[in-house]
Amino acid sequence: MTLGLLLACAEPAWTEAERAAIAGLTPIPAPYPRPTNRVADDPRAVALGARLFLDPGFSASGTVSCATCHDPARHFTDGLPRARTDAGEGTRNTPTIETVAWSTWYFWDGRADSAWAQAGGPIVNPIEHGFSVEGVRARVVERYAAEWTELYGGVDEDPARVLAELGKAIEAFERTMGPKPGRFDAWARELAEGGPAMQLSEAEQRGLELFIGPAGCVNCHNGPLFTDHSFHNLGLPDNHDRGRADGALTVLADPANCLGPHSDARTCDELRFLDPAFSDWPGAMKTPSLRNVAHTAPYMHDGRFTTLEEVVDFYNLLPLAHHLGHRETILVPLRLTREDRAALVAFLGTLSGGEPG
Amino acid sequence: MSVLLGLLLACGGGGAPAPEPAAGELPTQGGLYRVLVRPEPAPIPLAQLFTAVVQVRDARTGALVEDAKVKVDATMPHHGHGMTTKPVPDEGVCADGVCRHADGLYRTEGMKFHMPGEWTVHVEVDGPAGPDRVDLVWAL
Repeated sequence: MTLGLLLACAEPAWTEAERAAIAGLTPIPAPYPRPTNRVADDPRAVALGARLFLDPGFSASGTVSCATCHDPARHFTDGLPRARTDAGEGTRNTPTIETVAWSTWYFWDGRADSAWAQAGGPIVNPIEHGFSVEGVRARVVERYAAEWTELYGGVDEDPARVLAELGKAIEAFERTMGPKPGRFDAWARELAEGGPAMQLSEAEQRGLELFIGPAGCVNCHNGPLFTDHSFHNLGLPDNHDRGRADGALTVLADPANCLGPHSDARTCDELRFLDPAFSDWPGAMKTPSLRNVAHTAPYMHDGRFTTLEEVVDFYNLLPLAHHLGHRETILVPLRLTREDRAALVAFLGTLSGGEPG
Repeated sequence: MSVLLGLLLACGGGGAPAPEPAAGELPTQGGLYRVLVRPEPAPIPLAQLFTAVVQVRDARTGALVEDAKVKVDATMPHHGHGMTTKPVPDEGVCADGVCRHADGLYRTEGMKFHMPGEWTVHVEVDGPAGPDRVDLVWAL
C-alpha cells in the first residue's frame, strides 16, 4: 500500500495546459481527403499502386523501383544519408512516405503539392529512376493496359497524363501505409480517461514534459503527426541548400500542381495563397513527422546526423556557423543536461508503432 | 458661411455623441473607425488556412462602413516573421468603380498561423474618413 502510494506520487502531475498539449498530439486521424486525386481511396488503385511501387520496369536500368529508396522494411526509408541509386547520389535524405496522407507539401522543399505529383518526380529524375514519360506510357501500355482501362478509361495519348495517373495509383497505395499508434498514444488515451497511465517510463514522461514545455519541440512538431507541415530554417552549419525558397517557386510553376490539367480538384487554396517570397524560406526545409522517427535514421534533409542523440545535441548547442538564410528566431540553445537529452530521445521512441511495411 | 459650416462638420458639428462600441469592437489607432475582427472558423486551426472577417463602423456615427478597403496581415513579433501565405481580401460587390461590402463585412481569405504562439494581427482600413489601422493579438 505504501509502495503503491509512493509509485502514484512519482508520476508527474500534469497541468491542465500540459494535458491539452498532450491531447493535441494524438490520436492519428483518418487520412485527409485528396480532391486532386479522384482514385485516392479506390481499392483498385491501391492494388495497382502497390504493384507499381515495386516495379523496377519504370527505370532506365530496370533495377530501380520506388521501394529501392522507400524500403518497406525501413519504414519506407533507405538508411542512407542521401538517396542513392545505380544512377547516382542525390543531395538529400530519403524521407519516409508513411505520412503522405496528411501532408500539404511534398519533398523536403515542398516542390510538389500532392503525393501523386511527388511520385512522378523521381521516375523522371536522371539520378533516380532515370526514366522518361514516354517510357512510362510504353510500359503502361505493355503491362498495365487493362488496369488503366478499368481505373482511368484507357491509356491516354499524353504521356504526362499517364505519369500523373501512375502517381495517383501510387498515392492510393501510400495512403494505406500510415504509421500505427505507438505507446505514447495508448498512454495519452489513458491519461485523458483518468487511468493509471503507467506505460511510459519516468524518463519517457520527462522527455514528453520537455518536448511540450521548455525544449519547445512542439512549436514545429505539433499535431498528431508531429509536424506543422511547414518549413523552417534550423541554421544547420554549412547548409547551402535553398530548400523552400526554390521549392515554393517550383510548385507554383509546376504543370503537375493542383491547378494543372491532370488535377481533379476544383479549388486549390494552398497553392492560391502560397507566398513564395516569405522572408524565412531561404534554407528552410519541411518539418518531418516524428512518427517512427527512431527507425528512420539518418536525420535532417542531408542525413548529416546518424542518431537521434546527435539531433538533440544539435538543438542543445545550436552551433554558430555559416549557413544559408537565417535561423528560426525562436531556436535557442536548449542547454539540457545529459539526463534530459536522453529523456527526450526516450520519449521519441514511444512514437514507434507497428512493424515496418 | 460655407467655410464655417465646413469647419463645424469637421469638428463634429455638435451632433449626437458617438454610440457606445459593441462588445469586442476595437477603435483604430487614429480613432476614425471601430472594427470587430473574428477568425473563421473559430478557434483558429493550427497550420490551416482560415479567413479573417472584419466589420467596420465609422467611430463618430457608428454607421457601418461599406465602401472601404480593408487589408489584414499577421506577424509573430517574438519570432521575427509573418505568415507563409499571401492573404487576399474579397472585393465586395463592385459597380461604377465603387465596391461595397454589405453590413460592413470584409473577408480576407488565405490566413495561416503555421506556428503556435502569439500572433499580432494588423488591420488596415482605408475608408471615407481616411486611412487608419489597428493591431490586435491572437494567441494560438
